[in-house]
Amino acid sequence: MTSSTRKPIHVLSTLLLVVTFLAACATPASPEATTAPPGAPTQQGSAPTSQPAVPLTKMYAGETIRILMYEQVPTYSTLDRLQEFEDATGIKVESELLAEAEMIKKETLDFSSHTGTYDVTNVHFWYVPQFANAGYLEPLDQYASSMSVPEWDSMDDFVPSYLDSQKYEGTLYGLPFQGIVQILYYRTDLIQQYCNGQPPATMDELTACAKAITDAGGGEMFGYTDRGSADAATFMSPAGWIYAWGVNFLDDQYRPQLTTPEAIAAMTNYVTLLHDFGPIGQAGMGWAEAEQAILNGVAAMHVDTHDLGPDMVSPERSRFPTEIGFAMPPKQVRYSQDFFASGLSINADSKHKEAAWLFIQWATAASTQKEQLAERSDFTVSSILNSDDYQTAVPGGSVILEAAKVADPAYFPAIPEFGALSDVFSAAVSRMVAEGPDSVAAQMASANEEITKILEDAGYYK
Amino acid sequence: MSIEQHTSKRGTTALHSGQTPGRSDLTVRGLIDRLANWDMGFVLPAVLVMVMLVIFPTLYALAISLLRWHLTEATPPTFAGLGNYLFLFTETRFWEALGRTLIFTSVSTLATLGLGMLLAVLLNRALPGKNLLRTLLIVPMVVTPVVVGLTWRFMYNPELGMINYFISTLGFSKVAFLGQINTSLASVIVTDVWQYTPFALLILLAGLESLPHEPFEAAQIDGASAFRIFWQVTLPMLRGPLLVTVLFRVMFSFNTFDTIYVMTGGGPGRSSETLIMYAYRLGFEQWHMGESAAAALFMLVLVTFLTRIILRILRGSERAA
Repeated sequence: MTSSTRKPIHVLSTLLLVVTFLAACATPASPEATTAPPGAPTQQGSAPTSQPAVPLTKMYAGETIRILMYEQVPTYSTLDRLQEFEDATGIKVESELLAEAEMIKKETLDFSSHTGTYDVTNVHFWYVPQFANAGYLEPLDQYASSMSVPEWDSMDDFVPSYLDSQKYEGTLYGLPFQGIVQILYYRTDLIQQYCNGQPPATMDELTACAKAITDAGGGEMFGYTDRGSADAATFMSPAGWIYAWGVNFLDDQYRPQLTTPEAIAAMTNYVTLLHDFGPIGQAGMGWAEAEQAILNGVAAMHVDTHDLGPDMVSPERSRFPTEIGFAMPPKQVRYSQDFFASGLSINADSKHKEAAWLFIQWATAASTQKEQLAERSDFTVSSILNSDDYQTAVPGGSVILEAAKVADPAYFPAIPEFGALSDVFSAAVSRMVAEGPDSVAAQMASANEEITKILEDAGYYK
Repeated sequence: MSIEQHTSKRGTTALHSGQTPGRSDLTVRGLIDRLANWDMGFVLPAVLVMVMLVIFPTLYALAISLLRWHLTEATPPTFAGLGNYLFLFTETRFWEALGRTLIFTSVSTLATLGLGMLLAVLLNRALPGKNLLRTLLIVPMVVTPVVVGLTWRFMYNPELGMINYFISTLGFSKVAFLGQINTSLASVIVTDVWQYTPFALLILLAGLESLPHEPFEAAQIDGASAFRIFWQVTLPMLRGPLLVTVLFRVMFSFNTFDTIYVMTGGGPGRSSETLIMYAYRLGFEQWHMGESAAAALFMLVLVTFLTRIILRILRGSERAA
């Protein structure tokens, strides 16, 4: 090396030393530019040693996160306000929206290939055990305790059932983004005419009312409609019906309960309602067709998720917008269930976990949700569900609040093998609805056996 | 200098002469030069595409089919040997799905062929507006299968559908075509036939239009009836296009997924669940990737076997001609 090349290196080294010394002696620019909270997770997953003196919200400015969500009103409503988050944090968000089924496939493949393409994804509550068990999701308890942004922290405000649905074996894996409970939709005029003016409160009343309307309907009007097709989404309604009779789909030892007298009675009632008092072709009708049946005036009652409310009273969607009533779901021993929650989770392979945490905290915050009051009804915080604004703005608001209080995710077999269980049970339900109540005992026994085999193979009964 | 001479002089000869390539041959330019003069260089791009898009995915699927790989489990995939294939062969659901697939494929192919032939014969005449008619008739084939499925699902709807409207105006009671175990598969087959009859029409019409006139004129002079001409002259001469139609229809029908998925989801019960639906459910609902890959590879082997038979018949007919 010549002296001419050595000289600039000496100058640069000296400058670097001076700059480092001055930086070490510097004090924080202002009192509010404080450090990160103690114990905040770092990008490498170890405890932080020293953090730059900036507020938590600005600590990850300049990072870019990629999110994968599915196309629906709550997603659009939230992303419409994305600028607020980007301005507050300096984090850039790139979003990809897909149809629900496509999103689930894409996130599962991304998780399993460990590419870490997406930092944040929508995860339905029934996939939380599967993904958490496989190590795909980042545990969030530490983030919740040490990286809380006060104005976005809704941990104490989340509806308990929605928050619980994001946990697996006691560990939090997502923040509830969307929560839906089951309510009864009914035609007020027909209930007045055929069911003594009161919406049915019990399963017996529901069955009697459905029969009365069907008998009077002359093949054009039917008393009740619900999900009867063989697709996975059908699973929830009949599983919630079994819950109403006092048993869960799986017992504490993960044994399916489909051959218990309660489950047989529940499904006999469900199948009778659909086969005898439901529209023609119930065995091919999923949730969308069932909703259409009541919107078109073909069916008089329908128990389903509360987010259908705006459609029911919409003059553009419903033939009877002013004659739709809302009531609690029918009860046997317990209220029937069709609980649904979708959360926002962080990919365990994400390279921007802290920035992703800030995003999901903001997206699920009560303050963010409150701005969307005119646009959606599936909020996940009690402060909004309890508010007068919600009660007046959302069709059936008071009923939704009561239904949320009795909502119980336990009706659902939240285990990683849920997909296989749903595949078997939905096909059995569809067959029972097609063949009628006489087929219930045999089909339930067959489904019970098949599900037992699946769980045995998965190692549940060792 | 011919291409062969040129190649031999600069490529093959050099490769077989045992000479060490000169320093200039080791440069990038030299390698490109040699590649450009190598026979296989012409087909290399196609080979690479085939390897990437066909051979690698197939081998990868084969590898997966030998693993126990459940995306629901935290444990990494383990070698299962032929366990996934054995699992399939002992599953009643697999054999039922295979049976439905064979029914779907055979009925749909035959119906498509029959209707396509009928329409081709009708259009092979001097008809007014023949070109417009031909264009309109191929519309179903160019519509996305998902759209076809949704449209037919709506048409079959007992309350709102057009088909049930006509049935009820004739005084019959409404039929839940997609909501009954004994009608769901047939209803999906009808949709498939509707969509792919134009495909048969196009091939057979092209075949009919290319036939020589002399044999028909000779048969007419001999006093043969129209049916006899069709049976003994037209059909034998159309054997090639007919077998090509069967070949493609068997491959398409065997793999029909979108329409069935949208229309029935394989239900009610599993009354319209075909093999590809079953493989999909194993993979993307149960998340059992090994079993799903095994089912898909079984389908590949079966379709390959069927197409080999059809191709053998086709070659036989070409030799006879």
